[in-house]
Amino acid sequence: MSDKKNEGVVRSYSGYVKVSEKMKTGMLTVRGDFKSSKFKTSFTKVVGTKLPKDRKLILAKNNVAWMSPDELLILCDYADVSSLSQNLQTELKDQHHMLVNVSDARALFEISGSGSREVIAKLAPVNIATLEIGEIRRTRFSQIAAAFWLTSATSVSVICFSSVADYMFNLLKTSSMPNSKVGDF
Amino acid sequence: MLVFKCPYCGIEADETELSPGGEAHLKRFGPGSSDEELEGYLFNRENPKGVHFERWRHVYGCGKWFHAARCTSTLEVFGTYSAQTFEPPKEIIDIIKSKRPGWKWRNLS
Repeated sequence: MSDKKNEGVVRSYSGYVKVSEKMKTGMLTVRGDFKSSKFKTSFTKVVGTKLPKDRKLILAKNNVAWMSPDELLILCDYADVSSLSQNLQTELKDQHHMLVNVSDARALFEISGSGSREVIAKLAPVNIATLEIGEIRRTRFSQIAAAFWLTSATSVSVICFSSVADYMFNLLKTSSMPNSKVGDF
Repeated sequence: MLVFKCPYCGIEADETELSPGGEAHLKRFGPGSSDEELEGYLFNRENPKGVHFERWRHVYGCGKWFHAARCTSTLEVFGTYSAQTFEPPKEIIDIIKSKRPGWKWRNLS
């Protein structure tokens, strides 16, 4: 069972791309006034990165994703979430903010292979040809809410609620079945 | 299919990523108002063939409510604008004026 290659993976599927659901990832939702310079300073001090620009994702030790004009998502190691949350809480204690540890409420999928963008294009109403690397897109995958970003030209990360992780896995599996390649990307 | 540009996140979102919120710029009549006012607030709506102002929510995206001006018969979108306003901005009105001369919506024309 303990296959070294599949370490940290809940389940995976290999069609014309490889789809895998990752083990728990630390995720922290942050809301606040991102225009305030005091907030920016405190955030950078604890998290180590600047605030991302609109629709962008900062790939660093702690990935920081823009979710809406007043919401960010920090992705980090599962073990680091509570300490990060506490440090941020202490730093922001006299500022308007909200922090929620959503690690166990979310699922993270990774898709890799040359048809990765096509697998997404089949499921989400997004013009994926114009999407840049480092841009996060919140959208729907068939019937469920999800967000995704390109990590390279041939790999994509997808997050969704863990309550619908089964649905998402089956969706990605169907979309990447062998012989179902369209070849548009 | 309708495609609106969300004024909060700048994404060109199609209808399936959005949730409709009915007519825009309604004034609430609550406790203390007359029966006619309350009835009007609850039930009386414009039902135009042509220019219409609506509320939409970018539900699968940033989650923000915004306003949209569109034509109900051709589905042409004149523009979208912030929800933090009581009336359509001048730019939107100007666009509608140039594209639909003689249009009317409530007290706007």
